[in-house]
Amino acid sequence: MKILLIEDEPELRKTVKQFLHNEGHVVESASDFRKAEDKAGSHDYDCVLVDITLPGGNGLEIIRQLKKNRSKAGVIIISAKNSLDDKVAGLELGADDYLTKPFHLSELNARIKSVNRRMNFEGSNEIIFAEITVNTDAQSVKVKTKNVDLTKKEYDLLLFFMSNRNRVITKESIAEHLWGDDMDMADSYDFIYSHIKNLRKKIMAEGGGDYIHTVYGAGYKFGEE
Amino acid sequence: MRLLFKTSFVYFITTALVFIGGGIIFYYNLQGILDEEVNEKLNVQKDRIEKYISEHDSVPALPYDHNAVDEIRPCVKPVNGYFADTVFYSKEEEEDLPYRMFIFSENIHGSNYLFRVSKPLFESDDLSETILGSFGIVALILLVVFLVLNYFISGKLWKPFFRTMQELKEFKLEGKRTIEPVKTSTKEFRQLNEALIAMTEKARNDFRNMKSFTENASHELQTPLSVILAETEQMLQTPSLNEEQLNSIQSINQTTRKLSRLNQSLLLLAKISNRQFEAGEKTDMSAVVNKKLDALQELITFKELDRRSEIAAEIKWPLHHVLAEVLVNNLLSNAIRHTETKGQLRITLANDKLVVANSGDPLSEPEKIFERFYKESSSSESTGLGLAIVKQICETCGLKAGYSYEAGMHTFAILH
Repeated sequence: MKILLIEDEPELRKTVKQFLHNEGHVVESASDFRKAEDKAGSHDYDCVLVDITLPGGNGLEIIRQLKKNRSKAGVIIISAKNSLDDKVAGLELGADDYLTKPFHLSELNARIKSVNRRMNFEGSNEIIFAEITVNTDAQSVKVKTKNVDLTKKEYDLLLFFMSNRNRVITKESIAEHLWGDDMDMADSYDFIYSHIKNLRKKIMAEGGGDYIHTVYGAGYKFGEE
Repeated sequence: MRLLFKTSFVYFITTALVFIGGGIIFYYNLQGILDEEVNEKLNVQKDRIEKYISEHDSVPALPYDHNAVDEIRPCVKPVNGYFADTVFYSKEEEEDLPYRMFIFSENIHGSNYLFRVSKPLFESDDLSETILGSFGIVALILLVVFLVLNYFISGKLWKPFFRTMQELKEFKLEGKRTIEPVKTSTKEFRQLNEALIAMTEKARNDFRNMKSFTENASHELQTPLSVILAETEQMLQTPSLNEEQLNSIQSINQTTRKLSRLNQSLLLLAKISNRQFEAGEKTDMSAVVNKKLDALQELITFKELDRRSEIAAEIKWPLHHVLAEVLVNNLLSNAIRHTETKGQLRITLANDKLVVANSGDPLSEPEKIFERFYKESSSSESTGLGLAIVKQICETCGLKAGYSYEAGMHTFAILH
C-alpha cells in the first residue's frame, strides 16, 4: 500500500514511517503544509495520514484538496487535538477516520487496513489467515468451511489480531480498540483475557490452530509460531 | 443592620441627646428670664407705691387687680426688701399655685408699713411640660423626616452602590458577563465601580491565561507521549528480547499510556471549566444512559453484577452531549469498577435526577470523593479524576452532584 504521512513532529514521523515500512507499505512523508500539498497533489496514494495542526496551514485543507481532485485515497486524521469540532469537520470533508494522539501503532495499523478495505469495493472483502477466513461484509468467520459463531467483541478482537499479525500487541491497545478511549478500568484486562480464552476455544473447537500466543510481560501475538 | 439605618440611628440618638441637653438648658434659662421678669414687675409695683406715698403721703389702697397674697399692714421695724416664694390655694384652679412675693416696708407719717406684693409664677411643671412637648414634637418630626429621607436616599442616592453590589454577586470568574459601568454623579460609587471593573477584568484575564496555559501544556504533552508510546511499541516487536526486557518496555508503555490518560483528563477538566462545551440544545439523557449501559453490559455481565435500572424515556437536560456522555460514562465506570463480583448496581434516571448506586464497603473519607486525585485504594488503575470531572461538569452546567452511603450502597445522585 502507498501511504502519505503528514506529520510535523520529526520523532513521531520517523517512528510511524519506520513502522509502516516494516508492515510492508511504501511510505512518503511530509513535514509541513506546503510539502504535504505538493505531494498530495502530484501522486496517488492508497492512504493519507494527516495531522491537523501543521506549520504553514491546516491539515483539513489538504483533505479538502484531495477530495476536490477526486482522490481515491483513504484519509485518516491524526491529531493531538481531541476536539469534537475538528473531528466533525474532518469527517464531513470526507476523512474516513479520526485517531487521537497518542495512539497505539497496532490501532493505526488496524484503522489503515479497515479504511483500505472500505476503499476497495471491487477487491476482496475476505481476510484469510491459515484456515481462518473473515468476511468483513457479512462480519462472519469461518474455520476451514465451518462457520464460527462469535460475539461482536470476539469478532472485533479477531479482526484486530489478524490486522496485526506477528506483532506483539499490548493489553492496553486491545482494551482501547474494543472499548474506546473512555474505558479506563483495571477490570478490562481480566475481561480481555476471558474474551481471548473464548475466542481461542471457539476457533480450536472447529479445528483451527492456536494462533493467539501470550508474550509474557508484554501482551499477545497472533500468528503461526 | 443596613448602613443607612445605622447612620440614621446614630444621628437620631445624637439629636435626641442634643434635644434633651438643649431642653434642660432652655428650661433653666427660660426660668431665669421669667424670674427676672416677675421681679422686675414687682419692682415696678414697689416704685408705683413709693411714688403714690411721696405724692399723697398716705397709705395706698391695694391695686384693683390685687390677689389674695397681697397685703398692707403696719409693722414695728422697717424691713429690707426681699423676695420670697410661696404657694397659695386657688379656688378657681383648685390647686396650689406658686407666687413670688416682694416684701418691703415704707415709712408713712413716722409709722412703718409692711407691703407684700405678689405675682403668680409660671408653673415650672407647666414650663417643663411645654418645653418637653414642643421638643418632643420637633424630635418626632425629625424622626419622620429621617425615615422619609432614608427611604428616598436608599432608593436614589445608594442605587448605584446596590447595583454594583448586585453585579458583583452575579459575577463569575469563568462566566462571560462583565460588570457594567454605573452612571452616577457620586464620586465614591464611580470610583468603587471603576475599581471593581478593573479588578474583575484583571482576575478574569489571569484566570483565562492560566486556563489556556493548562490547556496548551496538556496539548503539547500529547505529541512527545505519542513518540514514547510508538517507540516502546516498536521495541516490543524486537524478537531477541528476554522476558525481563519485555517487562520493562511494557511497563514504560503502560505508564506512558496512564500519563497520557491523566493528561487527557486534565485537558478535559480545563476545557470544561473554560466552558468550551456550551449547551446548545438539550441532550436526551435517556439515550445517553441506555447507550452507555449497552456498551458496559458485557462488563456488567462479566462481573456478574445484579443490575437494576429504571430509565425514564425522553429525559432531556440542558447539557452538551459530549459532557453528558462523559458524565454518564464516568459515573457508570466508577460504579462498576468499585463493585465486587456479584455486587449490586442500581441506575435510576428521572426527570430531575440521575442516581447511580453500587454496593461496597464504606469509604474512609467520603467527603473527599469528588476531589481531584482522591483514590480510596492506591492500587487502582484509575486516574483519580473521573469523579472530579463529574463534579466539574455539574458545577459548570448548573447540576448538583451528591454522594451518600446508605444501607451498604454508595449512592451518587446528580440533581437537575
